[in-house]
Amino acid sequence: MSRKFRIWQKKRGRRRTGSPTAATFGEAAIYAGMLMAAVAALGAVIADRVLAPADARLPLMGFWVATVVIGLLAGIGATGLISRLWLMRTSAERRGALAQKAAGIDLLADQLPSTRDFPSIPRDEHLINSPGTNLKYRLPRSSTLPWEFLAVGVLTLSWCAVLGVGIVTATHTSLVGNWRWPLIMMMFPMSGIAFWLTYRFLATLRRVTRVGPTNVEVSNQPFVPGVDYDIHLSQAGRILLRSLKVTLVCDEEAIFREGTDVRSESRRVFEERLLEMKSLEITDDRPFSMKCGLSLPGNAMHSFRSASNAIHWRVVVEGLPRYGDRFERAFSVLVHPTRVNNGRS
Amino acid sequence: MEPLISIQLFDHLPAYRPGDVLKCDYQIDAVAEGEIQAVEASVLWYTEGKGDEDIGVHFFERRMPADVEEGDLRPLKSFSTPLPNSPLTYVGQILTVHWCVRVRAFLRQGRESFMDYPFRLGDQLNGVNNESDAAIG
Repeated sequence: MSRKFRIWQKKRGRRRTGSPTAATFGEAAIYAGMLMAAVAALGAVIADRVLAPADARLPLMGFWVATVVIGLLAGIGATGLISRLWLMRTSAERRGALAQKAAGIDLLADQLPSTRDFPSIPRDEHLINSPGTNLKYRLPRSSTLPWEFLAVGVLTLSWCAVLGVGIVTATHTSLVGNWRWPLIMMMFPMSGIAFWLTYRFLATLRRVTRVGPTNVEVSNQPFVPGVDYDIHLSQAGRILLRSLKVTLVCDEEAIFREGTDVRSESRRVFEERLLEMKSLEITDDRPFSMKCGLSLPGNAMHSFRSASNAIHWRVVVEGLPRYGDRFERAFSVLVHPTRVNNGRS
Repeated sequence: MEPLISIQLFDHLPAYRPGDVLKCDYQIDAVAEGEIQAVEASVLWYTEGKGDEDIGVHFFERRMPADVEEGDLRPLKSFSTPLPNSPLTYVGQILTVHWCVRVRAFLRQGRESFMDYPFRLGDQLNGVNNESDAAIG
């Protein structure tokens, strides 16, 4: 617990300058205040209904609206207060054990043995439900391109619409002799931005249409450290590439709260080049296709996911076209611990 | 005065392997007989690093005076539990996964005291980067 009260607090690793107990107490006090205010207000509204003369009362509709709103506030206050009191009276281990027990009564749990056999390792159903044509499994792609394409498209269209309205307004007012110089001058930088956005949109569109689908297949899943696997890459499209690289990466990801903000940070802790090709020409009738080997280090950490932390393994395909921007496509893979034990915990 | 909590693990060096049975003894001393209201023993993992702390409880046992003869929670108590396949102990760059046995004593007037006994799960140092290995030593 901190010795001095501070408005701004710091966190480094497990150490915090603030006191979690004081924070929980503060939250409980806020909820208690909310509950007391709601009860007092509810009492006043009911007293008004019962005791006030008929012509000075709230209308019936207003009475019910006020009762419902105040009742909701009282509910939020009571729920928050009870949960904070529960937090203060129980240890983190007991709460964790109760949460674990609640998760254990999931009706689907029996059909998902991997979660029970390997706690905190993500479920692997979606990674092994797609058979490959060259190797056993085709990996699902964790795509970013459609979102980028959609975002650039929506932004470009919105900006051009605003620019269009501005140009029409400026032209119309100018034709009737009312020159709005600030508006006219503003159209020039806005037009420049519109040209740049349109260029970005067309570049993204060209990338979407010229770079065809990327397929990555693996000889087995989940991966186990120290074991060799095969990977098959197939890249379709109509494009000239300076280089095409396939890399196996491992990222640590962390989510943390700073005040009311939720932030995330990622750190690449492992990177191994599996394949690198130079000067490729990919055509519709001749997609690029190649097989390579993959071997995880014997001391590699398995995949991991908890509420605020994760370890992700991915196969990343990165292409650098002769004309245009580079593209990157990532495919999640699952890594299990070396020692496989089917005894359930 | 803080109670003295003693924890002893068996066969935990250099590390437990997944599926191994963890055997533990614990005892609470330096406290008056009726002072302890409850004792919780747990085997758990927790994360440390840049992200918020996560905790996973693998084994949990809570004892009250009514659960034991003569209502005394201080004497030596043993428990054992098979360890899971994951998560293994890990020391990375912005994330560390620790395993420990934690004994927490709840005393009169709302006072608490606890002790952690760390151990390693996994028969190797699970860090794929050289920095992590160096950090573990």
